[in-house]
Amino acid sequence: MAGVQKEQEYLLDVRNLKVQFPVNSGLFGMQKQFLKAVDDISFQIREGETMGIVGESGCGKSTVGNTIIKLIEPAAGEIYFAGQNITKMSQHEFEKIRPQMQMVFQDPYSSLNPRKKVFDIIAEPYHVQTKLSKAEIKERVLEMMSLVGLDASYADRYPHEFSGGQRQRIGIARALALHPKLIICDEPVSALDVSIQAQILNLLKELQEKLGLTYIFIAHGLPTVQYISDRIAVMYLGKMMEIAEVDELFAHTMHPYTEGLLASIPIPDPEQRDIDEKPVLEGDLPNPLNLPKGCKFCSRCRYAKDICREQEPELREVTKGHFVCCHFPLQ
Amino acid sequence: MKDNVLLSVKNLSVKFKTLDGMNTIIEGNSFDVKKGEVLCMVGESGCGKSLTSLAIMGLIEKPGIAKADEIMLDGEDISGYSEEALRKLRGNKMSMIFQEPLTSLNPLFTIGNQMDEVFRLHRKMDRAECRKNSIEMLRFVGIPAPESVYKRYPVALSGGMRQRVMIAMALSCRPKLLIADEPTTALDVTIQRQILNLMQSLRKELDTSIILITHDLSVVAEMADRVIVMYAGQIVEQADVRDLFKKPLHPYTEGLINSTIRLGEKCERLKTIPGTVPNNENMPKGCRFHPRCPFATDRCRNEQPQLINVEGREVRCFRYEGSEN
Repeated sequence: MAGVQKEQEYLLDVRNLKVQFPVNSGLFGMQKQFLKAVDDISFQIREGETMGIVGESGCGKSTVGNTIIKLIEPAAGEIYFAGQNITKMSQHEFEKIRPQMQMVFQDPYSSLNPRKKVFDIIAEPYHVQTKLSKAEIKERVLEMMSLVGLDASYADRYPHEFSGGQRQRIGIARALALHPKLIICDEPVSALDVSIQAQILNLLKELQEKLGLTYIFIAHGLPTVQYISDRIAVMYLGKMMEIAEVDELFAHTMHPYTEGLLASIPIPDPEQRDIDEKPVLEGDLPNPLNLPKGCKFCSRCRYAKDICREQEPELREVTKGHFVCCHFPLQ
Repeated sequence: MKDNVLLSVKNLSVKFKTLDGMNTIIEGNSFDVKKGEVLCMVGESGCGKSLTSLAIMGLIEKPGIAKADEIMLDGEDISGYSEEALRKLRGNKMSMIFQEPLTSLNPLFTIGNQMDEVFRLHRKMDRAECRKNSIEMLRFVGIPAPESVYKRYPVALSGGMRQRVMIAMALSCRPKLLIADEPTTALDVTIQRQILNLMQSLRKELDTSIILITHDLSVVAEMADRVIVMYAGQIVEQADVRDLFKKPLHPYTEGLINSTIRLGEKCERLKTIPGTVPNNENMPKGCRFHPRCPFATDRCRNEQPQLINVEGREVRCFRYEGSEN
């Protein structure tokens, strides 16, 4: 693979990552099976870029995020952050790097401690990671609050006094506290109302411009992801199916799954309904413990041929920067 | 009542008894559902769209109180009906499907068991007939191998399949009115597409009126004939779907449409509605939308606007006074 210099170009470099969960089955749980939540994926993210990861429930998109910040141990593969291999690090060593990567969670109701005041929630990272004095912490917390658009007078309130959108702002302020380079946003707006979603998305974009942040934006809704991302990775059952720049992905969709996903999305314009028959993706996701042989998507693919049922395709670069995992990419 | 109207709701209010006294969640809403149409109710969480549907079904429980001058369903006023009389209607003349199909199905009974109940109660069929009809309904909603699904438990089915079962159950007695409360919100997009297509084709086949409750304007654009936009317990706009998207009258509707992201459309910043939905205990005086409205005047801050007719649609906003018809 590439030498040391190449590694430096990317803030995050994920190589052949595999995550497996043991599942007990059979009589008395005697038989051990492994659920391949993430199955051999590789991708790179440049500094200042936003990478969107989309896919249906159970495709492994959240597992990818959790593995990057070492909440889950991978079964195989390497993750390089700013040139350092973090998969080999001990938790102790990793703690020094951890301030540079933070997470914003989906549910702002359960990811904030209900017994702590807003001030203490945002101040906690400073207590854990820095030796700042009380006055310095106070100054920083108030700075973070104004950065995300929270009034300083809210510092003494508890999370339950806030609406979903404001809670998500608290979560973002907490994630920003230690000036991270990378923020992993795991469905940050899915639990919010439409008008509030737009506010939070705008805030995330503004913060990126101001602070030069790099985002991994994990979501199931393509419209949201395409708005915020520079590049999009489409996942299906633990595999990357397609990775491309946003415009390229829409203009030249190559994977049949991406095509189906795009066609499934309702269009917010009544004039456009019934215009053309949309290809519907038939069937459900297969059982992840009992995946079809060959391409994982072949059971729902309308273009599937014999080879798709026999041999699993590899992710390959078809045109510059456009990767697809399919024997017969669409053109 | 006009001939083509199936459901007519007059002055519906829902109140909840709290420690601080009566808390009015829905206030004086009136609307009609025509025969065979899809009426979408759209609004953000807490706007009262689900409560409206529960009130029609007579499912508001204490400490809630639903009151209406009249709820005419297919020629009979059901607003004063007893629980017993309502039970005969539910699942028969009107039925409902919910957001989360797993919690609406009983995990301890097989799919067949739960489906048979509808036919047994409302149609007084014997066992063999129930089974035959249930399997027929499962096939009707596009479930592969209905005989085997009939014997399974809800946990063994995927989310999309469960929602199909719910739809099959709701349509068993060919109801005149189907209320679908966020039926696709818990589902993945590809499954949502399947369910939306299914609802469209069923509606053409059965000529059932559907009240579809959703927060997603894209779903509205694809499904609705007419749309009711709700905000903080009140209807703020009511219009034909094409008119609504072409020219939203109420500032809230406009804000909602503008903050919806269109696929494949690049923009620097999304248009947003500033602020948040008001809390029920702390309703703003005057127009309920005025703290978030770019056009708010002193009058909006003090006086509540009424629904007025403009160009064959209804809107609750002072800006359209004088253009009523």
